[in-house]
Amino acid sequence: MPLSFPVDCDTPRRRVEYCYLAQDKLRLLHNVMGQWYREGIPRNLWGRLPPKVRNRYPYTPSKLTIAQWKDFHDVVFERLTNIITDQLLRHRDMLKDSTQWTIDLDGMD
Amino acid sequence: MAVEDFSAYTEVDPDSEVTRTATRVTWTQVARNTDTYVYDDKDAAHFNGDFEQLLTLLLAETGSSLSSVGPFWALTNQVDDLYNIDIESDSALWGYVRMENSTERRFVLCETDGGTLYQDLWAGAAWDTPYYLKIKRDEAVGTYGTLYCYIYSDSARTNLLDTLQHTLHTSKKDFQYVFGMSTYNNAGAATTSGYVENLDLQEATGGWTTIAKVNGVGQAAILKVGGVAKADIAKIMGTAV
Repeated sequence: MPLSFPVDCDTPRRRVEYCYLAQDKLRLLHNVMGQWYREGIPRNLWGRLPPKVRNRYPYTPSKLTIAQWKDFHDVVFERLTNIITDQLLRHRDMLKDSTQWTIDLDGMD
Repeated sequence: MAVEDFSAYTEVDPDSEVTRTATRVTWTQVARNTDTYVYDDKDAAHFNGDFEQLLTLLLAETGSSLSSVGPFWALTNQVDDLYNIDIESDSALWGYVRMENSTERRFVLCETDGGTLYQDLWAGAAWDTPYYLKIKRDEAVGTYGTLYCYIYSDSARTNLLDTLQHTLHTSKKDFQYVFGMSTYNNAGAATTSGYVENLDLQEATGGWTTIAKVNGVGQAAILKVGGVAKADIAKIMGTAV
């Protein structure tokens, strides 16, 4: 499944930036779910999760079960990681081919 | 799944800087300019397709110095330090720790592809702190697959600190050897210290399973390698086969 970039996110540089931001947002989501699995989370924190995640994991003050944690990991985290990474690496490689700058290794330090 | 038994690995340690327990490889002030490593031969093409491996990594402040390169994990097709593998145009997947400057310590994920080096890094590591890594290859992402290293702060791997990733290059590659530590011997006396612990290849346990009787008769022995059964059955129902 391709990643849907915003319309104005139309250059490799912008798309790399977008992907890194998306990856970090996904990391933070992972860690909230991890906290939920370890110790539980308050309802207000659950309320800030993305709607699709809230729908899949209705609020409970108790801990996520291991089955729910694995489900999140496999169905949400891994799937989105792969989508983001595929685009990140694709556009990162394009940046490496950029001719915008002349690199002088001798003059770098 | 079981963690690797490092006491069964082969150690090349000319300066006696490595100690091992069954679950941990510790190295102390290992300089770049040595060939020092701990490895196991898993047979040709053992690491093929997708894999996911777990390990714990710690970089020690005492005994580490600027510009050090300390490989802590590698999959290769030859037994050598990672620099030689690079200059001999071989290939490897590997990771190393590096003290970049007085405040920055890096974990670096590498692909050496026919002598070309690719890397991605995380610069947030603290001294003397265990990090819990998951290193994964997914050959369905990208043309030749993608290598990931997830870095967590907890052993349950519920708190993710960063994700390193690489597009893999030129071909889908299989590997034979796994390393619990190694060196990058391109001269220089900078040293690293640290340990790798609880390396879990997350493979089905191999070994012999002996079935004394089948339906009251028979003497069968079934060998499983990497979870795949390879039958070596002398008799079925008392009849030689």
